[in-house]
Amino acid sequence: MLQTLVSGLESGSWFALLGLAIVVVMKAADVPNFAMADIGLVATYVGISLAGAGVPFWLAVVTTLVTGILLGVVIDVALMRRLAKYGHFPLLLMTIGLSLALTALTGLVWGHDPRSFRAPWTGAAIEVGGGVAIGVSQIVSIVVGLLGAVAISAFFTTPVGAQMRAVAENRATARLVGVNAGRLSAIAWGVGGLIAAVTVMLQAQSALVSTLTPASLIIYGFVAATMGGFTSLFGTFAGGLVLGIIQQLVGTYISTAAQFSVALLVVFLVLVLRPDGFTKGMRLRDV
Amino acid sequence: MLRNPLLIAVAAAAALLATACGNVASSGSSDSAPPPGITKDQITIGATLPLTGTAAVSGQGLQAGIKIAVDELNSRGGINGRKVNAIILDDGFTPDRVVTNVRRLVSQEKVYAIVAPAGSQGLPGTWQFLAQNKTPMWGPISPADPKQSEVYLLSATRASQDQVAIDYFAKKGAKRLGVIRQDNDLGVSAKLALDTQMPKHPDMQVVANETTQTGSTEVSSAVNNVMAQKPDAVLLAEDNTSSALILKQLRAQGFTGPVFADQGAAGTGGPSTVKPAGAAAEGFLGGMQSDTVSTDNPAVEHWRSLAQKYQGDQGTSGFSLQTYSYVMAFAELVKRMGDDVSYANFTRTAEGLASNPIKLGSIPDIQCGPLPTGHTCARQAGIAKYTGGKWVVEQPFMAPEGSGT
Amino acid sequence: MSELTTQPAAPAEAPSALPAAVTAGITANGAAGHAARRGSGLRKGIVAIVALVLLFALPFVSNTYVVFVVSLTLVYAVSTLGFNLLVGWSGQIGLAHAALFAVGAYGSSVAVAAGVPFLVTIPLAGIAAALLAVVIGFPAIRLRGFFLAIATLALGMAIVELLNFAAPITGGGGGMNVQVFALPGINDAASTYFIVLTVAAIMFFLVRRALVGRFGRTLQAVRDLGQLSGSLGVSALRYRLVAFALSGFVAAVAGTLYAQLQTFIFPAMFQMNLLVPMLVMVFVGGAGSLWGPLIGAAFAIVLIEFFQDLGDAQAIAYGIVLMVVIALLPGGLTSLFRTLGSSRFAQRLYRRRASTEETS
Repeated sequence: MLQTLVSGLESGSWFALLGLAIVVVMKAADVPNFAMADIGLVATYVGISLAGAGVPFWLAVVTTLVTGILLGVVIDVALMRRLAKYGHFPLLLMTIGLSLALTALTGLVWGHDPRSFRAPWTGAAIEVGGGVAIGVSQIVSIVVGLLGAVAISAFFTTPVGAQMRAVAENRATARLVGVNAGRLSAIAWGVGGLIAAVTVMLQAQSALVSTLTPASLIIYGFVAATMGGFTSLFGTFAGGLVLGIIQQLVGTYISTAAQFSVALLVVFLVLVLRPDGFTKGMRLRDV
Repeated sequence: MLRNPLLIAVAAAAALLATACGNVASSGSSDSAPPPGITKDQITIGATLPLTGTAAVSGQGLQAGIKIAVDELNSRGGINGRKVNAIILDDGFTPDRVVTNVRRLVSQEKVYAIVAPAGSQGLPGTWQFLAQNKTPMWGPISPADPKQSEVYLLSATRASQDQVAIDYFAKKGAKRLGVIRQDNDLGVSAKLALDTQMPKHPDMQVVANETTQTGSTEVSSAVNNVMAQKPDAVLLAEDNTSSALILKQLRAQGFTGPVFADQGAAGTGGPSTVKPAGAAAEGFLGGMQSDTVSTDNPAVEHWRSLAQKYQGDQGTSGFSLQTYSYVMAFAELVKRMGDDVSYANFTRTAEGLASNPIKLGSIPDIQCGPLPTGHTCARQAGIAKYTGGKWVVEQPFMAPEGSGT
Repeated sequence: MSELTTQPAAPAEAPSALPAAVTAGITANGAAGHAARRGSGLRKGIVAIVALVLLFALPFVSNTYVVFVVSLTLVYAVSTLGFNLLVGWSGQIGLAHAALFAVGAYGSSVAVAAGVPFLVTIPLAGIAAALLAVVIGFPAIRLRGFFLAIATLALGMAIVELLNFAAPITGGGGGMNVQVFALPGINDAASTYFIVLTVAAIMFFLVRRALVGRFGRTLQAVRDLGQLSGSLGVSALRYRLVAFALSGFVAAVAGTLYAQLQTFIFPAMFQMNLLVPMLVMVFVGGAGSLWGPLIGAAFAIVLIEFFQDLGDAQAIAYGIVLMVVIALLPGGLTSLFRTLGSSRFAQRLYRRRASTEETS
């Protein structure tokens, strides 16, 4: 049972973080980003390659994070911004195309073998009695996930963060009061890329990642974001953790094969039962 | 301006209809008609392989084996004086591309036979098409046996390998067997093996039988469930990534018993599962369809000397040895057919192998017989153990208990 | 107030968009389109019939591989026709299309295995999927934009998951064999091709009939005006759900044909790896265009066949082509044949932008 809970919190942290990355970009740039996990994967692979070439672990970690930020900003400036005036569908499709291209590019450069990011604590475990051992990497995932959520919440209380919220609530008005929407969207994409890099890196230090990882991770990220109504940071984070635990419980007591279906069911139930959480978001686009 | 081209087009269409009706008639090719892809001095074979995509590493190994074999055959003057021409298409590991490619090989490239193609999930989509065209498929990797006249399986199927592993576990005194299988054709094969072989070992029970989502790396709850039942041995029917992940997690939770996966899942002989699994791979058991690449078996030595000269990627992998052996076996079969290259004689000669098997040394003897079960030409599977950074033979080739071979 | 200024634009603009749409049918080349736009109804009919006759002649002159690839293109074109109806014409991002396609493939194959004649299963699977599509479209009552996209994506994936769980009927993840229907006296490849071609022609004809008339105009009005279409006196909701049903019907019809071509189907075929090419086909062809689906499907299939030997570069090319088309040709390839000024998509985008800016 404890093992189940810890496993659930661990994968839940990944879902929650990726959900937060999606929500941050949503807030400022108004794009549901299907390429989020791919950005994280590319950044993580850069880090793994560096670590494999003998670069010290922490330097590789920092490089991974910087790569995530840069990728996010470059994508925003080079691809997304010019499309913003065409509405949502082209933006959404652009992220799907980007996701395809990034996955294929990753496969071309690094191959399709699964990889892991060896951390100094990889393989270490803590005995908690009763023959149950908790991996240090699991604890790292959970703690970093929590810290990440706190940091992002703090970020939104800064002046830049407040502007971002203003943009999310009303783009035109925000522009009228002198908010530079372009700069904000670049910042949001950078922050999103950073969180995505952290997410995939956490998964890589505990388990394995490959070019197949983004496709399933992004769905869970969207489930978490949906649970937070695509606006609430707390809702997204809690939603991700709850999703992780539900998944483990379903896997333990029903069937591992049912896990994905349950996640889909959660999305649907949330969308149908809590539509009020979405009307605010809807009005933004629909008037 | 528009009318004249239109008239011409209509006339052309009418002419075509009048002249070319034979092309769509469902006569099929009669047995006496000369088969395509074979002339006095050339024989064309084809394969579809996952040269790219998620199974690219194995696909490149499979391709290497075919190319090495074809080069060797041609340098010795071909098969009965016919140069071998191999057409290899890439399917990117997508099943519908496998189907399209097989149609292209048969209808457009006019191959004599399809030799050593891969794609256990895509190939079943070609069975009906092959039946209509009577094109033989020699050594596909590794679908379940469709029990049809055109298809010959040259090595132990996944199910047979799993059966051999179950026997092995029983021999080692395991009482409690844990199973983790994927929700696709891999899982279906494992279930078939359990259903056939468990009744033969009444002392051993399946204590956990977990199914995981295809393509998902969420395996931890399956591992937790299996561990909760305290198994003596674990059987995996998963892809390379999931196998590696499960192996890591099992070892991390202190499981020390034997863990087995079939040739494809374990990547026996190659790095595709053991490399990502890292230290957890020590002691991992893999099914063997062909001999391990590092053995000192002379047939393997011969292949290795050629493989080391091969220019492309993955020349010396286990997959390369497998397809190399399949192509060499095909060459031997065609040689035995002599001057009569008709498909009827192909079937007759192949099904006669039961009494006079093709012995290559690198894979179990190929002894195809008549349908319904005879086209699984080898039931014997070996087991290799990954130890000290390389694969070594743990148990030589043998058939599952009670299979009659 | 300001939205009133956009309102007259829709009816006024709609007729100018029609000629391009009228060039539908199976004439998939630019020259025929231009001729048809200028010419009479009779001439358009002749072009369509000649194109059909030429297509019918294909199996007589080429091998089964070419026939198979053209069949596959037509199946994707029909599927895209349905997707385009939902996404392009009614403006709803419903992402359950691959699942509805799967419903057609499985529905038909299971029914055939139970003894129902294949040709009967085509409309049956279509109707079943249409009903299912209405259920999937139900969230459309409340959700717009990508919230709808995510809800329908989740439901679509759940349907494909269900195919896994219904193992006794569908064979589960291991897949199921499809009994291929063949017209008497003709080989399978040609027979399937003739059926595919006939069904494709019927579907294009029906969809064209539906979209060229009042229904199509209303659908566009609902799309362009959103909730304001209530002021036109139509029930926007009803039109949205009808669009879902029609698109589901067309998707499932295409699915039945797809199963006949593949001869072996399994659930993993119908996941994101199918949905993404479907989106590509809609957008490369041009959202909201009637004959765009044919161009989109042909483009996607040809792209795969051409880039066959490029390996991973093929997937990159796919992603990049999608990105380039979105960035440079928001109206898809078909928009190349129109002048920029008369591009419905551009005007629509312009309108939408204008209305968002003015009202917010």
